[in-house]
Parts: sequence; structure tokens; C-alpha cells
Amino acid sequence: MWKKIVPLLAVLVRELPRVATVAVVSLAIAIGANAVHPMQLPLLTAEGHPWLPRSVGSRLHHVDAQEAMRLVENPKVMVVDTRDTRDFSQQYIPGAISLPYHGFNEHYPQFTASVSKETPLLLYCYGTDCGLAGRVAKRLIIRGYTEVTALSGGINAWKAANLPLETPAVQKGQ
Amino acid sequence: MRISVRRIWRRLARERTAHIALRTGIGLVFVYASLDKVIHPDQFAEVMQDFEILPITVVSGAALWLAWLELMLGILLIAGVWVRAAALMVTGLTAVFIVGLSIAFTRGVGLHCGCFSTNPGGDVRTWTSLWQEGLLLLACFWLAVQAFGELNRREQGSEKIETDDEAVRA
Repeated sequence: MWKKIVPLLAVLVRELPRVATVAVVSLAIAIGANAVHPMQLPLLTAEGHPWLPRSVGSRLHHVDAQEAMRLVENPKVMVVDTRDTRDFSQQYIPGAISLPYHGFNEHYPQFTASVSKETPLLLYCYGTDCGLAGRVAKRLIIRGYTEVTALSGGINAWKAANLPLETPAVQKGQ
Repeated sequence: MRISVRRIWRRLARERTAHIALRTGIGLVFVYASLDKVIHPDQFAEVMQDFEILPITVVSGAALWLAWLELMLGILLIAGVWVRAAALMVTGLTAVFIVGLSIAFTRGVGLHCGCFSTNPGGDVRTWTSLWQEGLLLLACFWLAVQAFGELNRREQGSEKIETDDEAVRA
């Protein structure tokens, strides 16, 4: 058995320089391509979201629940729920419309047909680390939306601040 | 390395059709799988973060690298260059990917694979859908076995020729 395994291992070891070359060259190409890519990701992320390019992150604002309440009361602001449609259909922040991260490409045409790119947007998701609002915000900023704000802590922070929520039943009652 | 049409033609004629079809097929799969990731590295980084395996610090770097590594391996396989090294790497990558998916499933993470598209929509992956990666792993493994087997045969053949030469000289 060893007579077969030893030559095989020797052949495998002989391929290692090529394996290393492919790995290093592809890494070099990746770094070079990233430098000229419009999204230009940070290669290492100390904190925050690794999928958020600095150019987009700097255009995304964050507010706490109280500040978000003031935005919700502003009729010019459109509130956008980025959670799954199943959760949106149970409870949401007053006046919110649904634009779920899972299914963004399918929902976006309808969204952009009804919401102009100059409309101030307030996005929220589930909680602190869910990041869905950030991911949807990134897509909207790339597509030309100019005033995009995300609610820090998501709907959990909103609930913790005892702020009002809307359910489909309440909406029907109104 | 000099590339000439005659050389490529000779190589094609020498290699068995099944081997060429297998490596070209796997190469095309890897090229196709890499394209969306190369175009949308930020969205691929989202998918990689959802796996919850790598530390946040390296997710974006790993996403960028993996996309280009897949593309390069696919091109190498299609071109028939460094096939043994590429076959080893695609086998390893597919195995790592299956392990990653399994860890995510065990933890109960709902995943949209990110295998061929970075679109977060579509069906959530489950244990039963792993057969696709299993099939790809089998194909990659078979390609590696063929590639190394061919080398082994070639080396044994040259040893035999040398032994015959020595016998003739004696």
C-alpha cells in the first residue's frame, strides 16, 4: 500500500508550487481589480459591515429611535421596511412600505416607480446586527437615491422606545 | 510557456475526449459561478457574512479573492493549463464549500447559497439541496484522479522505456 501512497504524495507535493502560484496570482488580480472597481471594498474590515464600500457608507446616515420618530412624522419622508414580507405583514412602523432585502430585485421596479430618487428615506430592519437595512440602503444609494437614513437598532430599538407600531388590523380599523 | 496552435491541437489529440469534456465542463461551471461574484464583490461579501464562519475582518478580502480564484481556476481548466494543480484546487474548494454550508445548516442559518448568483432572493438552501455540490465534488475528484493517473502512467511508461533501453544495451 505504501508503495502506491508515497509516489502519489510525491506527485501531490510537486504540484504545490503551482497551487501556491495560482493562489497568489488570483489574490494579486483580486486586489488590483478591487482598486479599479466602482464598489472598492476595504480588504480588511476593522468593524461594521464588510460589504459596505466607504464611498457608499459615507452617504448613509444613522439615527436613533427618537430621531427616527421625528422623521416618521415628516410627511416628506418615506419609511421603508427591509424585513421579509411575512414579518412586514404582521407589524411595521407607521406609514412604512415594504422593500425586503430577500427579494430586492423583484420588488425594486415597483418601489422605484412610486418613490422618486429625491425622496428622503428612512430604512429599518430587525435589530442591531441584522444589517439588512444597510444592505438595502447600499443598493438604493448606488441606484441614485440621495437621502438615505437607517434606523440604528432596527424595529427592536423602536419597540424598546415604546414608539407606535401599525398592524394590518389597526390599519383596517382606521 | 509558448502557446502554439499546433501544440494545442497535439495535446487535444493526445488526451482522451472524456477527460477534455470533464475538465471543460467543470471549468465552465467555475467560470459561470465566478462572474456574478467578480461583478458584484460587495454582494458576495454579504453572502459570505451570512455563512457566519469567517471573522468579519477578513470577509471582504476573502470574498474578493475567492471570486477571482474561481474564475482563474475555471480558465485554467478550460485551457488545459496546470490541470493537476487546478483539479486539486477545485476539489479542495468544493469540499470546503460543502463543509461551510453544512456548518451553516447545523447552526440553523437560513442561507441563499451564493453559488451562481449573489441575488439574495430565491430559495433558501437546505440539507437536501447539497446533492448539487456533492455531484460537483465527485466530478472534481474524478478529474484530479484522472489527471494524476495520467501523469503516473506517463512516468511509469518512461521508466519502462529506460529499462528496455538498458536491456537492449546489455
